Amino acid sequence: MHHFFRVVLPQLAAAFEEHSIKLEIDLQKGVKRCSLDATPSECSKRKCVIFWYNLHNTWWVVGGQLFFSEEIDDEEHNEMVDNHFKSDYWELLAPTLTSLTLEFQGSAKISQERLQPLLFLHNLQSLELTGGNHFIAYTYGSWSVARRRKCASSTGFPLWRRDWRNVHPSARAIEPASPQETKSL
Amino acid sequence: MYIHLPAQLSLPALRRLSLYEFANIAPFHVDCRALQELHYWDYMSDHLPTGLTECSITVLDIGVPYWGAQAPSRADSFATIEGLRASLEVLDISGWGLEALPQWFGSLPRLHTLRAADNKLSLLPSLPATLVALDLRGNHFTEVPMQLETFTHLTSLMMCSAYGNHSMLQIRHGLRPLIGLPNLRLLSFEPRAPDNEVLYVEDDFEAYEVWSAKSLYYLGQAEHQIIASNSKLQLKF
Repeated sequence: MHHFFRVVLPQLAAAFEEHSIKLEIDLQKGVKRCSLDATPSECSKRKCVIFWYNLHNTWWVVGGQLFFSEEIDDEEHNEMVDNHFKSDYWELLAPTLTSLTLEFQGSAKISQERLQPLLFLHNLQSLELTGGNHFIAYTYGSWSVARRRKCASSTGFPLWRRDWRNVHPSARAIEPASPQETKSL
Repeated sequence: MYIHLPAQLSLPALRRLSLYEFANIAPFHVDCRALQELHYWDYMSDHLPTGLTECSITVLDIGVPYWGAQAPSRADSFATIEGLRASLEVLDISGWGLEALPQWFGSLPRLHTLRAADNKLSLLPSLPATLVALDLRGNHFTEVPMQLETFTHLTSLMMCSAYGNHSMLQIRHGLRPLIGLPNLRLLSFEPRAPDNEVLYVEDDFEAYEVWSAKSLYYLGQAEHQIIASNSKLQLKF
Protein backbone atom coordinates (compact mmCIF):
# COMPACT_ATOMS: atom_id res chain seq x y z
CA MET A 1 0.00 0.00 0.00
CA HIS A 2 1.65 3.18 -1.14
CA HIS A 3 0.19 6.55 -0.40
CA PHE A 4 1.53 9.90 -1.34
CA PHE A 5 1.09 13.00 0.70
CA ARG A 6 2.40 16.39 -0.02
CA VAL A 7 3.74 18.04 3.06
CA VAL A 8 4.57 21.64 3.56
CA LEU A 9 6.51 22.44 6.65
CA PRO A 10 6.34 25.72 8.49
CA GLN A 11 8.67 28.27 7.13
CA LEU A 12 11.73 29.21 9.04
CA ALA A 13 11.23 32.71 10.29
CA ALA A 14 14.71 33.80 9.38
CA ALA A 15 14.69 32.69 5.78
CA PHE A 16 10.99 32.40 5.10
CA GLU A 17 11.76 29.49 2.87
CA GLU A 18 9.26 26.88 1.98
CA HIS A 19 10.24 23.28 2.28
CA SER A 20 8.20 20.56 0.78
CA ILE A 21 8.72 16.89 1.30
CA LYS A 22 7.17 14.10 -0.66
CA LEU A 23 6.88 10.93 1.24
CA GLU A 24 6.02 7.53 -0.12
CA ILE A 25 4.68 5.68 2.83
CA ASP A 26 4.48 1.96 3.06
CA LEU A 27 2.32 1.41 6.07
CA GLN A 28 4.00 -1.88 6.77
CA LYS A 29 7.57 -0.70 6.50
CA GLY A 30 7.42 2.99 7.17
CA VAL A 31 8.79 5.57 4.78
CA LYS A 32 10.12 4.00 1.62
CA ARG A 33 11.32 7.00 -0.26
CA CYS A 34 11.43 10.70 0.31
CA SER A 35 12.68 13.78 -1.39
CA LEU A 36 13.20 17.26 -0.07
CA ASP A 37 12.79 20.37 -2.16
CA ALA A 38 13.29 23.88 -0.95
CA THR A 39 11.96 26.81 -2.90
CA PRO A 40 11.77 30.46 -2.00
CA SER A 41 8.59 31.43 -0.31
CA GLU A 42 6.13 33.43 -2.31
CA CYS A 43 4.22 34.68 0.62
CA SER A 44 5.19 35.13 4.23
CA LYS A 45 1.58 34.95 5.37
CA ARG A 46 1.16 31.29 4.62
CA LYS A 47 -0.26 29.04 7.22
CA CYS A 48 -0.12 25.32 7.23
CA VAL A 49 -1.54 22.35 8.98
CA ILE A 50 0.64 19.35 9.51
CA PHE A 51 -0.30 15.96 10.75
CA TRP A 52 2.16 13.63 12.38
CA TYR A 53 1.65 10.12 13.48
CA ASN A 54 3.69 7.67 15.41
CA LEU A 55 3.91 4.20 13.94
CA HIS A 56 6.13 1.60 15.51
CA ASN A 57 7.65 4.26 17.75
CA THR A 58 8.71 6.40 14.85
CA TRP A 59 7.32 9.80 14.04
CA TRP A 60 6.29 10.49 10.49
CA VAL A 61 4.70 13.36 8.71
CA VAL A 62 1.59 12.11 7.01
CA GLY A 63 -0.12 15.11 5.61
CA GLY A 64 -0.23 18.80 5.33
CA GLN A 65 -1.98 21.69 3.72
CA LEU A 66 -0.79 25.07 2.67
CA PHE A 67 -3.07 28.02 3.14
CA PHE A 68 -2.85 31.56 1.96
CA SER A 69 -4.38 33.47 4.80
CA GLU A 70 -5.51 36.36 2.67
CA GLU A 71 -7.20 34.12 0.12
CA ILE A 72 -9.02 31.59 2.21
CA ASP A 73 -11.71 32.39 4.66
CA ASP A 74 -12.40 30.29 7.70
CA GLU A 75 -15.06 28.21 6.00
CA GLU A 76 -12.80 27.12 3.18
CA HIS A 77 -9.99 26.59 5.62
CA ASN A 78 -12.10 24.29 7.72
CA GLU A 79 -13.30 22.44 4.66
CA MET A 80 -9.75 21.65 3.65
CA VAL A 81 -9.01 20.30 7.08
CA ASP A 82 -12.22 18.29 6.92
CA ASN A 83 -11.07 16.70 3.71
CA HIS A 84 -7.97 15.49 5.41
CA PHE A 85 -9.83 13.85 8.19
CA LYS A 86 -12.26 12.27 5.80
CA SER A 87 -9.47 10.70 3.80
CA ASP A 88 -9.09 6.97 4.08
CA TYR A 89 -5.80 6.77 5.89
CA TRP A 90 -7.64 6.71 9.17
CA GLU A 91 -9.22 3.43 8.21
CA LEU A 92 -6.00 2.07 6.84
CA LEU A 93 -4.21 2.77 10.07
CA ALA A 94 -6.95 1.70 12.37
CA PRO A 95 -6.23 -2.04 12.61
CA THR A 96 -2.64 -1.63 13.68
CA LEU A 97 -2.29 1.86 15.01
CA THR A 98 -1.42 1.96 18.68
CA SER A 99 -0.03 5.45 18.97
CA LEU A 100 -1.24 8.60 17.28
CA THR A 101 0.02 12.14 17.55
CA LEU A 102 -1.58 15.03 15.77
CA GLU A 103 -0.19 18.51 15.92
CA PHE A 104 -2.59 21.17 14.80
CA GLN A 105 -1.18 24.40 13.51
CA GLY A 106 -2.99 27.41 12.23
CA SER A 107 -6.23 28.86 13.42
CA ALA A 108 -8.68 26.11 12.60
CA LYS A 109 -11.32 25.09 15.05
CA ILE A 110 -11.10 21.34 15.37
CA SER A 111 -14.68 20.22 15.36
CA GLN A 112 -16.20 17.12 16.84
CA GLU A 113 -16.95 15.79 13.38
CA ARG A 114 -13.33 15.93 12.34
CA LEU A 115 -12.20 13.95 15.33
CA GLN A 116 -14.96 11.37 15.14
CA PRO A 117 -12.67 8.92 13.27
CA LEU A 118 -10.65 8.62 16.45
CA LEU A 119 -13.33 6.32 17.74
CA PHE A 120 -12.48 3.77 15.05
CA LEU A 121 -8.97 3.36 16.39
CA HIS A 122 -9.82 0.50 18.66
CA ASN A 123 -6.24 -0.50 19.35
CA LEU A 124 -5.08 2.99 20.15
CA GLN A 125 -3.04 3.03 23.33
CA SER A 126 -1.58 6.51 23.16
CA LEU A 127 -3.26 9.63 21.84
CA GLU A 128 -1.52 12.96 21.81
CA LEU A 129 -3.23 16.04 20.44
CA THR A 130 -1.36 19.30 20.46
CA GLY A 131 -2.43 22.74 19.41
CA GLY A 132 -0.88 25.93 20.54
CA ASN A 133 1.23 27.30 17.77
CA HIS A 134 -1.44 29.69 16.71
CA PHE A 135 -1.76 30.96 20.23
CA ILE A 136 1.96 31.35 20.56
CA ALA A 137 2.22 33.07 17.23
CA TYR A 138 -0.63 35.36 18.21
CA THR A 139 1.02 36.18 21.50
CA TYR A 140 4.55 36.55 20.36
CA GLY A 141 4.01 37.46 16.77
CA SER A 142 6.39 35.07 15.14
CA TRP A 143 6.45 31.59 13.72
CA SER A 144 10.02 31.35 14.87
CA VAL A 145 8.91 30.79 18.43
CA ALA A 146 9.47 27.17 19.21
CA ARG A 147 6.82 24.94 20.61
CA ARG A 148 6.77 24.42 24.31
CA ARG A 149 6.86 20.76 24.98
CA LYS A 150 6.88 18.78 28.15
CA CYS A 151 9.60 16.14 28.16
CA ALA A 152 10.94 13.62 30.57
CA SER A 153 14.08 14.51 32.43
CA SER A 154 16.60 12.55 34.41
CA THR A 155 15.25 13.99 37.64
CA GLY A 156 11.85 12.44 37.15
CA PHE A 157 10.26 15.81 36.61
CA PRO A 158 9.19 17.09 33.23
CA LEU A 159 11.03 19.89 31.57
CA TRP A 160 9.64 22.38 29.14
CA ARG A 161 11.70 22.10 26.02
CA ARG A 162 11.82 23.70 22.65
CA ASP A 163 10.44 21.46 20.00
CA TRP A 164 13.14 21.17 17.37
CA ARG A 165 10.62 20.06 14.78
CA ASN A 166 9.45 23.58 14.50
CA VAL A 167 12.87 25.10 14.88
CA HIS A 168 14.65 23.15 12.19
CA PRO A 169 11.98 21.35 10.20
CA SER A 170 14.04 20.92 7.09
CA ALA A 171 16.77 19.16 8.97
CA ARG A 172 14.73 17.00 11.30
CA ALA A 173 11.36 16.50 9.73
CA ILE A 174 11.80 12.92 8.60
CA GLU A 175 14.23 11.88 11.27
CA PRO A 176 12.77 9.64 13.95
CA ALA A 177 12.80 11.29 17.31
CA SER A 178 14.83 9.62 19.99
CA PRO A 179 12.90 7.78 22.67
CA GLN A 180 13.94 10.41 25.16
CA GLU A 181 12.58 13.19 23.00
CA THR A 182 9.34 11.48 22.24
CA LYS A 183 8.62 10.27 25.71
CA SER A 184 6.51 12.79 27.50
CA LEU A 185 5.57 12.78 31.09
CA MET B 1 -7.00 26.72 19.18
CA TYR B 2 -10.39 25.33 20.02
CA ILE B 3 -10.87 21.57 19.91
CA HIS B 4 -14.02 19.58 20.22
CA LEU B 5 -13.42 15.91 20.92
CA PRO B 6 -16.16 13.33 20.65
CA ALA B 7 -18.50 13.98 23.58
CA GLN B 8 -17.84 10.45 24.81
CA LEU B 9 -14.28 9.41 24.09
CA SER B 10 -14.55 5.63 24.09
CA LEU B 11 -11.22 4.00 23.34
CA PRO B 12 -10.97 0.72 25.20
CA ALA B 13 -7.23 0.24 24.74
CA LEU B 14 -6.18 3.82 25.43
CA ARG B 15 -3.57 4.02 28.17
CA ARG B 16 -2.15 7.47 27.58
CA LEU B 17 -4.02 10.64 26.65
CA SER B 18 -2.27 13.92 26.10
CA LEU B 19 -3.98 17.19 25.24
CA TYR B 20 -1.64 20.11 25.13
CA GLU B 21 -1.72 23.74 24.23
CA PHE B 22 -5.28 24.14 23.17
CA ALA B 23 -6.98 27.36 23.98
CA ASN B 24 -10.35 25.89 24.73
CA ILE B 25 -11.08 22.19 24.99
CA ALA B 26 -14.79 21.51 24.87
CA PRO B 27 -16.09 19.40 27.76
CA PHE B 28 -15.98 15.67 27.07
CA HIS B 29 -16.38 12.43 28.95
CA VAL B 30 -13.61 9.87 29.10
CA ASP B 31 -14.74 6.30 28.74
CA CYS B 32 -11.33 4.65 28.66
CA ARG B 33 -11.09 2.10 31.43
CA ALA B 34 -7.46 1.28 30.58
CA LEU B 35 -6.35 4.91 30.85
CA GLN B 36 -3.31 5.25 33.06
CA GLU B 37 -1.86 8.63 32.11
CA LEU B 38 -3.52 11.97 31.50
CA HIS B 39 -1.51 14.98 30.40
CA TYR B 40 -3.76 17.97 30.07
CA TRP B 41 -3.08 21.63 29.51
CA ASP B 42 -5.64 24.08 28.27
CA TYR B 43 -4.89 27.79 28.14
CA MET B 44 -8.41 28.98 28.59
CA SER B 45 -10.84 26.58 30.15
CA ASP B 46 -10.90 25.49 33.75
CA HIS B 47 -12.45 22.06 33.49
CA LEU B 48 -11.04 18.57 33.30
CA PRO B 49 -12.69 15.76 31.36
CA THR B 50 -15.34 13.91 33.30
CA GLY B 51 -15.17 10.19 33.96
CA LEU B 52 -11.53 10.20 35.07
CA THR B 53 -12.30 8.61 38.39
CA GLU B 54 -13.65 5.56 36.55
CA CYS B 55 -10.16 4.96 35.18
CA SER B 56 -7.10 3.64 36.95
CA ILE B 57 -4.96 6.69 36.42
CA THR B 58 -1.49 6.55 37.87
CA VAL B 59 -0.07 9.68 36.22
CA LEU B 60 -2.13 12.86 36.41
CA ASP B 61 -0.31 15.75 34.82
CA ILE B 62 -2.54 18.78 35.06
CA GLY B 63 0.01 21.39 35.97
CA VAL B 64 0.24 24.62 34.04
CA PRO B 65 3.39 26.57 33.20
CA TYR B 66 4.51 29.28 35.57
CA TRP B 67 4.36 31.93 32.87
CA GLY B 68 0.63 31.92 32.94
CA ALA B 69 -2.28 29.81 31.87
CA GLN B 70 -5.66 28.92 33.21
CA ALA B 71 -5.43 26.40 36.02
CA PRO B 72 -8.18 23.82 36.29
CA SER B 73 -10.95 24.50 38.75
CA ARG B 74 -9.57 23.64 42.16
CA ALA B 75 -12.75 22.15 43.52
CA ASP B 76 -13.32 19.87 40.54
CA SER B 77 -9.69 18.92 40.22
CA PHE B 78 -9.24 18.14 43.89
CA ALA B 79 -12.37 16.01 43.70
CA THR B 80 -10.83 14.16 40.75
CA ILE B 81 -7.53 13.70 42.57
CA GLU B 82 -9.30 12.43 45.65
CA GLY B 83 -11.32 10.08 43.47
CA LEU B 84 -8.08 8.65 42.14
CA ARG B 85 -6.39 8.35 45.51
CA ALA B 86 -6.13 4.56 45.32
CA SER B 87 -4.17 4.54 42.07
CA LEU B 88 -2.38 7.88 41.77
CA GLU B 89 1.41 7.64 41.69
CA VAL B 90 2.57 10.77 39.86
CA LEU B 91 0.84 14.13 40.21
CA ASP B 92 1.63 17.50 38.69
CA ILE B 93 -0.36 20.43 40.07
CA SER B 94 2.15 23.13 39.25
CA GLY B 95 1.06 26.66 38.55
CA TRP B 96 -2.29 26.53 40.30
CA GLY B 97 -1.54 29.39 42.71
CA LEU B 98 -2.23 27.15 45.69
CA GLU B 99 -1.49 28.46 49.17
CA ALA B 100 -2.19 25.09 50.79
CA LEU B 101 -3.05 21.51 49.89
CA PRO B 102 -5.91 19.51 51.34
CA GLN B 103 -5.02 17.50 54.42
CA TRP B 104 -5.88 14.23 52.65
CA PHE B 105 -2.87 14.65 50.35
CA GLY B 106 -0.89 13.12 53.20
CA SER B 107 -2.75 9.87 52.84
CA LEU B 108 -2.49 9.26 49.10
CA PRO B 109 -1.25 5.71 49.43
CA ARG B 110 0.68 5.26 46.17
CA LEU B 111 1.84 8.79 45.41
CA HIS B 112 5.61 8.83 44.91
CA THR B 113 6.16 11.88 42.69
CA LEU B 114 4.63 15.26 43.33
CA ARG B 115 5.28 18.33 41.27
CA ALA B 116 3.75 21.33 42.98
CA ALA B 117 6.01 24.02 41.58
CA ASP B 118 4.93 27.61 41.01
CA ASN B 119 2.28 27.75 43.68
CA LYS B 120 2.15 29.94 46.77
CA LEU B 121 2.99 27.37 49.39
CA SER B 122 4.87 28.80 52.35
CA LEU B 123 4.39 25.90 54.76
CA LEU B 124 4.99 22.27 53.95
CA PRO B 125 1.61 20.66 53.39
CA SER B 126 0.68 17.23 54.60
CA LEU B 127 2.38 14.83 52.20
CA PRO B 128 2.82 11.06 52.05
CA ALA B 129 5.95 10.00 53.90
CA THR B 130 6.74 7.65 51.04
CA LEU B 131 7.38 10.42 48.50
CA VAL B 132 10.36 9.75 46.27
CA ALA B 133 10.48 12.93 44.21
CA LEU B 134 9.24 16.35 45.24
CA ASP B 135 9.34 19.54 43.21
CA LEU B 136 8.52 22.66 45.21
CA ARG B 137 10.31 25.18 43.03
CA GLY B 138 8.86 28.63 42.70
CA ASN B 139 6.80 28.61 45.89
CA HIS B 140 6.80 31.06 48.79
CA PHE B 141 8.98 29.15 51.22
CA THR B 142 11.42 31.35 53.06
CA GLU B 143 13.44 28.40 54.33
CA VAL B 144 13.77 24.68 53.78
CA PRO B 145 11.08 23.05 55.92
CA MET B 146 12.66 20.87 58.59
CA GLN B 147 9.85 18.34 58.21
CA LEU B 148 11.45 17.27 54.93
CA GLU B 149 14.17 15.61 56.99
CA THR B 150 11.68 12.87 57.83
CA PHE B 151 11.03 11.91 54.20
CA THR B 152 13.48 9.05 54.12
CA HIS B 153 12.42 7.75 50.70
CA LEU B 154 13.23 10.97 48.89
CA THR B 155 15.64 10.65 46.00
CA SER B 156 15.02 14.08 44.50
CA LEU B 157 14.11 17.37 46.13
CA MET B 158 13.91 20.64 44.24
CA MET B 159 13.21 24.06 45.71
CA CYS B 160 13.84 27.62 44.65
CA SER B 161 12.39 31.06 45.16
CA ALA B 162 9.30 32.24 43.39
CA TYR B 163 9.84 33.76 39.99
CA GLY B 164 10.69 37.43 40.35
CA ASN B 165 11.88 37.17 43.94
CA HIS B 166 15.19 35.41 43.89
CA SER B 167 16.06 35.99 47.53
CA MET B 168 12.88 34.63 49.09
CA LEU B 169 14.24 31.19 49.85
CA GLN B 170 17.23 31.12 52.19
CA ILE B 171 19.04 28.36 54.02
CA ARG B 172 18.56 29.14 57.67
CA HIS B 173 19.93 26.03 59.31
CA GLY B 174 22.45 23.31 58.63
CA LEU B 175 21.56 20.85 55.88
CA ARG B 176 23.23 17.82 57.43
CA PRO B 177 19.96 16.02 58.30
CA LEU B 178 18.68 16.55 54.78
CA ILE B 179 21.84 15.46 52.97
CA GLY B 180 21.97 12.50 55.31
CA LEU B 181 18.72 11.12 53.93
CA PRO B 182 19.67 7.62 52.81
CA ASN B 183 18.21 7.71 49.29
CA LEU B 184 18.60 11.36 48.34
CA ARG B 185 20.52 11.76 45.05
CA LEU B 186 19.51 15.27 44.01
CA LEU B 187 19.09 18.30 46.21
CA SER B 188 18.55 21.33 44.02
CA PHE B 189 18.06 24.94 44.97
CA GLU B 190 18.66 26.09 41.43
CA PRO B 191 16.09 28.12 39.55
CA ARG B 192 14.86 26.78 36.27
CA ALA B 193 17.60 26.45 33.71
CA PRO B 194 16.80 28.55 30.66
CA ASP B 195 18.68 26.17 28.40
CA ASN B 196 16.46 23.29 29.31
CA GLU B 197 13.14 24.95 29.63
CA VAL B 198 11.37 26.98 27.08
CA LEU B 199 11.33 30.63 27.93
CA TYR B 200 10.11 33.36 25.73
CA VAL B 201 11.53 35.92 28.07
CA GLU B 202 14.94 34.34 27.85
CA ASP B 203 16.85 37.59 27.77
CA ASP B 204 15.20 38.82 30.93
CA PHE B 205 15.40 35.60 32.84
CA GLU B 206 17.55 35.75 35.92
CA ALA B 207 18.76 32.21 36.36
CA TYR B 208 20.22 32.58 39.82
CA GLU B 209 19.21 32.75 43.41
CA VAL B 210 20.38 35.57 45.65
CA TRP B 211 21.81 33.89 48.68
CA SER B 212 22.56 35.56 51.99
CA ALA B 213 25.99 35.08 53.54
CA LYS B 214 24.47 32.69 56.06
CA SER B 215 22.86 30.63 53.31
CA LEU B 216 26.15 30.41 51.46
CA TYR B 217 27.86 29.28 54.66
CA TYR B 218 25.37 26.43 55.10
CA LEU B 219 25.53 25.48 51.42
CA GLY B 220 29.32 25.44 51.52
CA GLN B 221 29.23 23.40 54.68
CA ALA B 222 26.86 20.94 53.00
CA GLU B 223 29.18 20.62 50.01
CA HIS B 224 32.05 19.84 52.33
CA GLN B 225 30.01 17.23 54.18
CA ILE B 226 28.97 15.56 50.94
CA ILE B 227 32.55 15.32 49.72
CA ALA B 228 33.84 14.16 53.08
CA SER B 229 31.28 11.38 53.25
CA ASN B 230 31.78 10.20 49.65
CA SER B 231 28.07 10.66 49.18
CA LYS B 232 26.54 10.34 45.70
CA LEU B 233 24.25 13.22 46.45
CA GLN B 234 24.26 16.01 43.88
CA LEU B 235 23.82 19.43 45.48
CA LYS B 236 22.91 22.28 43.15
CA PHE B 237 22.52 25.92 44.04
